[in-house]
Amino acid sequence: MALKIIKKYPLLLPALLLVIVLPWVSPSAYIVRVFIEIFFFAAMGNAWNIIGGFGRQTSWASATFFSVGAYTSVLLFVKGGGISPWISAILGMAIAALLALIIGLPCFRLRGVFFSIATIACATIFRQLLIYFEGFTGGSLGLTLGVRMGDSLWNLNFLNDIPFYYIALIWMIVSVGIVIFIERNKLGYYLRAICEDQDAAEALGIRSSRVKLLAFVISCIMLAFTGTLYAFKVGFIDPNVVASHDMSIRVGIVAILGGMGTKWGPIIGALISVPLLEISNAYLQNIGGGGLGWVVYGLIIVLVVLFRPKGLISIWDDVMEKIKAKKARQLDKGGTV
Amino acid sequence: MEQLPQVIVNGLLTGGIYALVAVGITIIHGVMKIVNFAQGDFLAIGMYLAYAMHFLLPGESYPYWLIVPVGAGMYLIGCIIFQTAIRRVIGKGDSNYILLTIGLSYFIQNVLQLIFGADFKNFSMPDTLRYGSFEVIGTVFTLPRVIAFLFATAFVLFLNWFLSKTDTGRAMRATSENRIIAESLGIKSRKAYITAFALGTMFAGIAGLMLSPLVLPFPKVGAQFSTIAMSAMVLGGLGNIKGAMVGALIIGLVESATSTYINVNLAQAAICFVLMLVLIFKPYGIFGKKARVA
Repeated sequence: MALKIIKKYPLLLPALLLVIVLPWVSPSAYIVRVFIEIFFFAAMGNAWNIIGGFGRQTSWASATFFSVGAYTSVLLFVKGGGISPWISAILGMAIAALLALIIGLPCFRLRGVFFSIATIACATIFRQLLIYFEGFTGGSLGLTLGVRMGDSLWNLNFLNDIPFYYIALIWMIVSVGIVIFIERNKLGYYLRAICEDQDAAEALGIRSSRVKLLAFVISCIMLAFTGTLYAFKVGFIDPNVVASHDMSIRVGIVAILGGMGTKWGPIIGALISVPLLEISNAYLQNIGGGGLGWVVYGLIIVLVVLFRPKGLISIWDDVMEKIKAKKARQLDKGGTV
Repeated sequence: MEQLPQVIVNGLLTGGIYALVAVGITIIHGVMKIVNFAQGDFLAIGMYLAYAMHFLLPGESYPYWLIVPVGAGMYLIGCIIFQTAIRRVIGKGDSNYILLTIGLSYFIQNVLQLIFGADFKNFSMPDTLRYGSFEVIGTVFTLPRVIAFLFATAFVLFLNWFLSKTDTGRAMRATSENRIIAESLGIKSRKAYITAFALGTMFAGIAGLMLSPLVLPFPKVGAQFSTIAMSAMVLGGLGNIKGAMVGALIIGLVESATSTYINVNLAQAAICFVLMLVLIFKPYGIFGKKARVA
């Protein structure tokens, strides 16, 4: 089994070894921080991909579910007397699942664009309510975890970033695992069938609204868990960042750029999009009114949708195909001579 | 509740301006079955165009003189965006145009920030316009809102006439009914598409100009108008121009009532809440005609 996987994905093992040793050989703590961000975004891209890629229902409320996780855990930690994030994460995921049901139930009965519009509407409502109830949520100033002492896995508090690096890495690998599990499970087949032809799928007895709803709920639970981890990594949540439309776009870009509906796409997308923003923030901030990196983000979506709708990972697939075709041709020649 | 007449007047006047954006997004959806998530950002472009061009006018003059250059500029921008991007996703399924127009919206917001900076821009404009108002039986009518409302009504009436009485308009309606039959009758569907998209863009841009005495432009100003336009369109039933107008007026009333009776900062949330209610209970609009699936 293991051998088969290594044979199928020759790059997987070296890449895994590289990221495992990276924090010990990396020249600066900054690179470790960037990689933590990459892992988080890859995990969220995987979550988005389940409903947006496999289900072709593009959600623009990722930030909402992300901040449900973040706020639940931080609020319970600050106001609940230090409840462990591992416990509050479960509550956050439950709330996210409930919210996903509320949005999904009416929208998946309908076809077409309604779901995307509804996600934008719900994200707006959620953001405005977060800022409005400032006594509870800290309003637009956000919430801080405060000063915490010592290393503690139970409270997700560490003196340096390296433990978080491994937590984020493990969560990203688990998220890929979830995607692979779904892909090989009934749910994955149903989703693909619905994408191909919803009428045909329904004629075969697939209840498309239920299948989409299940995929959406799983996706939102994953986003909420990432939110909890992220909040405890950063130690501070600002609604204008974590609940913003920009955040939802960033999550979407990770999957769109890498390849929607593929299991490795979001990792490729995160590996490119996160450093891209870091570089542009560091070097290009003084051009014009700033934000050149975000311009490039918008351009990336437009260009990928127009010219490479299957994402960058499809380049790799094309190359592999060509190599195979070449080998086949050589074999052919060998056979005839 | 004694402010009720005032709330209704404000709501209807604002709704009139929203009608312009909503009609724009509706004509695009009606003809090419694409929901333009960047509609609000076209409005933002219109605002910034007006801002950039108001330096050309002699000081202390009304910005409404810019309606011709802003309208023409927006029409051109609409043509360019259609030719380079939108035409490639027509008829290719929902997720393609959703992703494309969301990306476009994001791109426009950040290009505006790159050019003009992230801060609010202030127009110089005569105080008689910005703060002008008159009173009818104890209800205040603010001047910029009244002017914008009149312009918006005129444009919507013009569009109605255009769609029902001119050849191009009829060709657009035929294309929206059935593209293949329309083409077999000699209608160039490409021309109908490009006209519809450019008109939709122009309407958003002119709404931006009309709003310039009321709202200060900043790069992300469009986001709220995108949700408003989509809410109005869904409220009126997708692709129905009269429905979109009524929807826009309702949105205006909701906004004005929420700002007066609850809190200004919750106005957007209230609009989105109404949208969600419509999606749950009357997904095919308040006039309730179910759209054809195929």
